[in-house]
Amino acid sequence: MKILKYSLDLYPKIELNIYLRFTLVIISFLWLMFNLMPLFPQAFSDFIFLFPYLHIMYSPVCHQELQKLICNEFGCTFLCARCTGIYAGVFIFSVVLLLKTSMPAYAIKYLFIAGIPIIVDVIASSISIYTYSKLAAFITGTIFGSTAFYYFYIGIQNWFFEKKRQVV
Amino acid sequence: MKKFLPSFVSGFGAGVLSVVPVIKTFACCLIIPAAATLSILLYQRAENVDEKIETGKAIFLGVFTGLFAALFATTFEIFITLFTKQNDLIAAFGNMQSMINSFPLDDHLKQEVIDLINMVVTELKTTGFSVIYSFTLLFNNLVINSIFGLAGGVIGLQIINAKYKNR
Repeated sequence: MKILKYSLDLYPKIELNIYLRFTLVIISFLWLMFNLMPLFPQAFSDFIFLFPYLHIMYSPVCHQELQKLICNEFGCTFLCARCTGIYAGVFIFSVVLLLKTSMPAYAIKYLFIAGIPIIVDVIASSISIYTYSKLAAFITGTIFGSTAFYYFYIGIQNWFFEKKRQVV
Repeated sequence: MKKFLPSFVSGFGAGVLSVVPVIKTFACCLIIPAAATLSILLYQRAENVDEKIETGKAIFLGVFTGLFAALFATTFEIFITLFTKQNDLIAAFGNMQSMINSFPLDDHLKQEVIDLINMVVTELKTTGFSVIYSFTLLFNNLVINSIFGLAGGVIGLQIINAKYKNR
């Protein structure tokens, strides 16, 4: 089987600073938590004045179609199930990176492969092969989000390596 | 100025697409990262670079693509609202009102929030312009587009650099 790792000779493993990794966790957590706030209005009652702003803030990121939002008895998320999945994937992977300090670089084609479930789900639900499922949308989003964040992390890892090489 | 040109061109394109109905819902997720990747390709062409590009350069191009896209998108959005007196906030006001009313919170607090949005919506419907709305939109676009531009630059660079992996 073809070995799919590459470029480790050019960009050897380099550990990102714990503070930077922790910052990535905090940012992804806040982004996800703001989205989930309407599901728990009593817990965030002091921040309810932010809700209209958050609705606008998330609007360029997502279509925010009412029937595709994740809802409970109190309210609905600002983002649809798929976008919530994407950012949940980002958050989950950022937590994984807190524990696993460095990552090998895999070929970028896996990013496109991770996008296939989303495309299949969108097409299948659009042409009524099956009805739209928030769970399917969430899971496909999570797969893509975590993979995209992995490549973002690898990029940042490369950046630090380049900076270190320049200093040396 | 030359170093900003690739970001300026792709940022302008992204800014235009960001105000086109339907397409604009993909503004952050797809258009801005794609524009950031395009700016790296434009930089490669303009500078005649045929080797791996450094991540720092991609971050620079990505962030500035996001910032230019935010400036253009906000300007276009403000002008469109000024002439049509219609925008997403006005369209979503009904939903927002019912969402806030459904929260199990103090009526006085809910009314204050609704009054604040109502003030902005009324201003937009009558004059087509609201300082609060314009500032919110600009701030929002600058922050979000620069973050997505950065991410797009970093990930897009790996797609572009993949062809140099054996060099």
